[in-house]
This record gives sequence, structure tokens and C-alpha cells, in this order.
Amino acid sequence: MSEPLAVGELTGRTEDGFWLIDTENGETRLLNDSARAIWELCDGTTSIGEMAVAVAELTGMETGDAVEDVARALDQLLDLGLLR
Amino acid sequence: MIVLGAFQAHPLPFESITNSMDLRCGADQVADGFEAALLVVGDGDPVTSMVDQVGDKPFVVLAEESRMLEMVELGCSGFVTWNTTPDELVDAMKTVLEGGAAIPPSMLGTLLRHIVRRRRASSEKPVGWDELTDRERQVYELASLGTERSEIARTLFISPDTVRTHLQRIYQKLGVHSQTELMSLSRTELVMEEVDE
Repeated sequence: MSEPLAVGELTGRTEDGFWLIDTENGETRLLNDSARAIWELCDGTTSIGEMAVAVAELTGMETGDAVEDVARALDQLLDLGLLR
Repeated sequence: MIVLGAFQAHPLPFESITNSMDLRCGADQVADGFEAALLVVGDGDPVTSMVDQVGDKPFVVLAEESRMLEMVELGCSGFVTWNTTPDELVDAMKTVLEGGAAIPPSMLGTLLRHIVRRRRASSEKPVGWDELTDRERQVYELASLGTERSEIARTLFISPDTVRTHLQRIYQKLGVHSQTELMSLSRTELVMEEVDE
């Protein structure tokens, strides 16, 4: 079983975030900075736990809260078709 | 008034900063009673000695983007680049003074990847790790962070009963009897801090 893997390519930046293009169907998506940071962590080898610990260390938030936030972000990325 | 210490080998790129805060500028100068510091770092500057002078106070570094990870490792709470506007720098200093971290949003991904790599390099896997399946390792990692069973289930898209089954197998393979004991196996600094509490 593999860890989350990002799909798509960054194509540019605007004031509102980053544009990504879904390389599988050509659709474009706009991600905010936090979503992009999580998306960039999805290299197929980084676990949700590792992501949560890193987020907790960076932000000072409780690890349990970080797990919930990361899981929510991954859900949304999955819904957008930006993970597999 | 908040008193800030500023250590700079280079002129600040914008004058309005000094109107917004009581900065005591000048190389190697420390303001008495300062609560946070702004380090303006250029090529070849003695960063380590600058950081030493800050002591245990939080500090923001103004430097080239390429030096962000180096500064984070030195303990900066905030980082801004030369392209930062005066307002953004003031916001970063305020965030740090309030105990937060101020990193440019566009650099979050780079920093998170760095943290993951560093933690992997320093972590030790418990005896019995090689016997765990991929799914059991995912459950272990979340459980070792103190994550509740229901949250593990939601995160991994499995039922709480399945999580319980995985945990029982993990306990058996690692020779522990509870999640608390499992947490104590983790050698990551963060988890050890949680256990100490």
C-alpha cells in the first residue's frame, strides 16, 4: 500500500494561491498556500503521520489537531483529483 | 512599547520599519530588555554569533530565500526575504512576539519536506517494525502520536473495529500491551515530549 501521491503540475501563482493543472484530464485547479504545502508532501512515501508531525512542529499545534487538519486537506485534494 | 533588538550588517531596505517599531539598529548592538530580534543577514555574515547574542529570545531573519532552511535550523521563529514589504515584516515580528511562527506561505512546502527528512534521519524504528504490514505501519504511526482510534479510522478510511484489530496485531508484534506503551517506543522528540507530560 502506498502513501498519498500528488497528481498534476504547478503552472503559476496568483495573489489567491497556486494554479495546478491536472495532467490526466487537463483541468486547472487553484490551491491556497496551505493546501499546496500538503500537496507537495504527497510524494508516495510520506505518511499522514509524518505530515502531521511536521505540521505540528512547524505551527506549534497539537499533533492530534494536526492529524485532523492534514486528513481534511488530503480529503479535499482527493476530491479535486489531485491525489491518487 | 515593544523593544526589539536588531542585529544588522546591512541597511534595512525600508525606512518605515523604524517608524513602526522601536528598533535599535546597528551591528552587534543589543537593546536592553528586548523581547524579539530581527537579524538582517547577508552573504558571509557571522550568523551563529548573531544568534548567540539573541539568546533565548525569538528572532526573525531577513535574508535570501535560499538560506531559509539554514536559518530555521538555527532556531529562527520567522523568516522574510528581501522582497518582503514593510507591512509583512511588521506582521512577522508581531507573530513571533506572540509566540507564533512566521514563514512565507510559498515556502511552507519546502520547510515541511525538510522537517520530514530530518525526522526520518533521526528516528529509530522499534524492534519488530520489519514484521509490520504497510497498513499496520500507518496505524502505528498515528497511534504513536496519541491519535484516538476513531480518528485513525477516519484518517485511513477504515472502521474503528479494523483499527482495533490492527492495534492488537501491532501490540503482539512489538511486544507491548497498550497505546501508551506503544507511544513510549517512538523515539521522535515530539512524542517523547508528549509522554513526559
